[in-house]
Amino acid sequence: MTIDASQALSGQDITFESQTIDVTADLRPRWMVCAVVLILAICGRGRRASRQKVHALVWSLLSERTRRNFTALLDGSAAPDSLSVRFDPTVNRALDLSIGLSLVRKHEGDRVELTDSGGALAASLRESGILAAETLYLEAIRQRVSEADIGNVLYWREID
Amino acid sequence: MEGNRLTVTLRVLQIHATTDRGNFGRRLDFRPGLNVLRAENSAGKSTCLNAIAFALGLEGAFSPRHESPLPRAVTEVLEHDGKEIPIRESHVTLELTNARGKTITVRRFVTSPSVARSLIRVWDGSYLTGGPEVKGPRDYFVRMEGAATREAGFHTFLASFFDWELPKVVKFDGDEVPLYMEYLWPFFFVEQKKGWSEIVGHVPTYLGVKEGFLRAFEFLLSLDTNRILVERQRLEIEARAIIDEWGRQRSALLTIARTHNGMLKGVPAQLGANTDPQALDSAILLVPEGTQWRDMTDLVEGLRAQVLALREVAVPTSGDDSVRLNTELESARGELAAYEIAQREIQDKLGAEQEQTRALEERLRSLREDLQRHKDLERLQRLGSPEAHSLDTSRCPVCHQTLPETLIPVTTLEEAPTIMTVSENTQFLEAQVKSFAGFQASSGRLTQAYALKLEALSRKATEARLRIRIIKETLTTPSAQPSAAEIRRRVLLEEQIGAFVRAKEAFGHALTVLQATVNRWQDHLRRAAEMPRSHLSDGDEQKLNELQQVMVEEFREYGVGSVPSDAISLSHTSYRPEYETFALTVELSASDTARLIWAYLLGILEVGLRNDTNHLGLLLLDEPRQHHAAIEGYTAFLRRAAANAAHGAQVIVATSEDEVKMREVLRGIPHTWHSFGGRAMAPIP
Repeated sequence: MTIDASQALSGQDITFESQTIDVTADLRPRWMVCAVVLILAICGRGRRASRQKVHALVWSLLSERTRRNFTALLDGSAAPDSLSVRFDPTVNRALDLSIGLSLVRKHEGDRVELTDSGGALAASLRESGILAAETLYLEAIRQRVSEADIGNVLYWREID
Repeated sequence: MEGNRLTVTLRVLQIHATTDRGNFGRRLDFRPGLNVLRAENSAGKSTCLNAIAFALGLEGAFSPRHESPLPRAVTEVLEHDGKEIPIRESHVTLELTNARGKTITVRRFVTSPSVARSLIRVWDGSYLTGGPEVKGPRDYFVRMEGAATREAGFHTFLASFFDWELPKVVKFDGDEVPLYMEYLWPFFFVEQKKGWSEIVGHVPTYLGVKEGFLRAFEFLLSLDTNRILVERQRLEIEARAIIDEWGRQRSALLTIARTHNGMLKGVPAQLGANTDPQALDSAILLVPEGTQWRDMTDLVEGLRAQVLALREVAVPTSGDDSVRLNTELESARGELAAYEIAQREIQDKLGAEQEQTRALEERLRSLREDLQRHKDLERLQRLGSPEAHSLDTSRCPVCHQTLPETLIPVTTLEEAPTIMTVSENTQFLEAQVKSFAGFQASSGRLTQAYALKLEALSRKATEARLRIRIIKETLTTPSAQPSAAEIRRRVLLEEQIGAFVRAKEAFGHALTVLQATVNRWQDHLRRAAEMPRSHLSDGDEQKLNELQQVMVEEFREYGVGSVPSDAISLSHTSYRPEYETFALTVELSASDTARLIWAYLLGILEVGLRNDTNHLGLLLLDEPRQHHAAIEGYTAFLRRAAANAAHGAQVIVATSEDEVKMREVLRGIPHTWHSFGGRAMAPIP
């Protein structure tokens, strides 16, 4: 059966409605700010870290697979070329937002530091078990992610 | 209604202490009806009442501690003539008579160098008053595990002395125990310090009985409700047992099916409220034949027909058979080829489906993780902490422009798509998880079906290869020999039929067992439907209405207070008094609370005596005129308490009121008066 489109549509108004779209939690500012705050609180040295360390750790905690693989990499049980740690512009935005909200402040060079209110937020999150899986992961790797360790992971090609 | 036949009467209380300066103590001889004990507040009148609880091993009703509820004057050191005298040994003795007229004497040691405090010594007969035929003593233990269950436990003994068949109740840890007497004692005894602030507020919850107060009340007034509860619990246990058995029997059926690569159809996975007696009528066993599923019964019939046909024909020799054999060889080869093609096809499908399942699992994992993160965000929103409040990312903290709910840069805000709120997104994800979990489940089922088919085909292919080999062998043997292929074919057919017949038998048998279970289930459903809706029977409602009437009547009799008496009712769920359906303790003044306690407990006693119940007809009150309730009300209460003597009640009131005033209050009221000036622990010869 054929339909004459012009006939079918004539005399009728066509309306468009915008649909709300879903967005994954890790793209939501509040979630990412919490993740950043937890990274600095748990894995920071004296609550400080370089921007690249924050990027690397954010990338690694996003899925169960990346957490597992990154841990293997830190253990030395995975080859350094098995993973491709990515830098994520959204992390920069989240860092900027955290600084604006006085949860984080800039430190010498490209480093960032957790403020007191940032520390209070981290404590509050850990106590109420929000972002529990991510927290557990960060606590498990905290001894193995010094700035030097992160450097090795990211720049292994340049090490002879 | 014949009325209560379980009343108990206390006869004698004796407190005795041995010291280097002689014996000290107190003896009180009680009578049925109202007894009033008058003494100064610090002289030890409470000690006398508490000693009664102690002698019966019931001090655990008020405190979990194992210290004695008796003061230093009985346990360690007493005062006399201004001097402190250490106590070498002390004990409490109580004589009491039950409804059948049997008297016992119980003695418990407070301080003793040789006897434990957990021991209670019992004589049959009146050991103190020196009655005839005193037998014993026998020793029992109390306030230790087993006191209410073991034969040597004192509360086991006391329960049978009271003619109490204590109901089995459930504890929070799941154990079943007889209702501990400590839960019943607060209905018979109100102590001075803590007993008057709430209406039977002191329930010994530390003993761990679920809803102990309710069970105690129900037992005391012999409500049917406990029976209904127990029946309900039994039905629940029965239901679980039947469902478990169903599960086991169905598994057995599945095993039979599997041995023939078959599928079970028409047997419900679970028993439910809608399972009808015909639930199994369409149960069949399906076996694969090529790419089809066929009812095993039909298959057997077909095979049988083949065997019958073959039996008509003699086994041909290999020479005679060679033409047929060659044809058969061709067709067997063709069949094998077909099986192999089918196998490859299904193998591909299986592989694809497994791949699909893996992809779905991955997707589900990622969806679930995102869902958890969104839920975390929801919890973050609900967190009350100031840190969480400072996490407002909807506006730029510097220029206060609106910020989008995504970290991905958007060119202008007009172009930005509308992003779901956290709770919208959570709902969306939950729906996604549900859909994908559904896909995963059906993908799993499909994978299983393919695997089964593959197994069947593989067996058929092996069979065909074997047949080909035998036919080839037969074709090369001397032509006068009987065709081995043909013999084999016949034998195999018979074996196959045999296997199917056995399976069919096992299936039939299992179905019979299952049918029996379905019938049991039907019976269970019927009985469950017959259970009364509410937990109270008609008789129970009647008793509760009677109690409400009596209680309100008494409350009014005892004076006007801060609430109108007709606004007070008795809750049929909590069994406590309510004020316009709210729990009362907040509304009432202290003196009103006291009056309501008199009305409630005496009301329970009266209803308990008028009906066939388990009430002992006993009530012990330490200082009931708390907070100076009006004297007229108090008088009315005492008069009513005394009046219950006609039904076998015994009410013991301890008071420190002025003696002259008390004598006046009690004028015209039949009672037994006890009093002592000075201390309870006085020298005795």
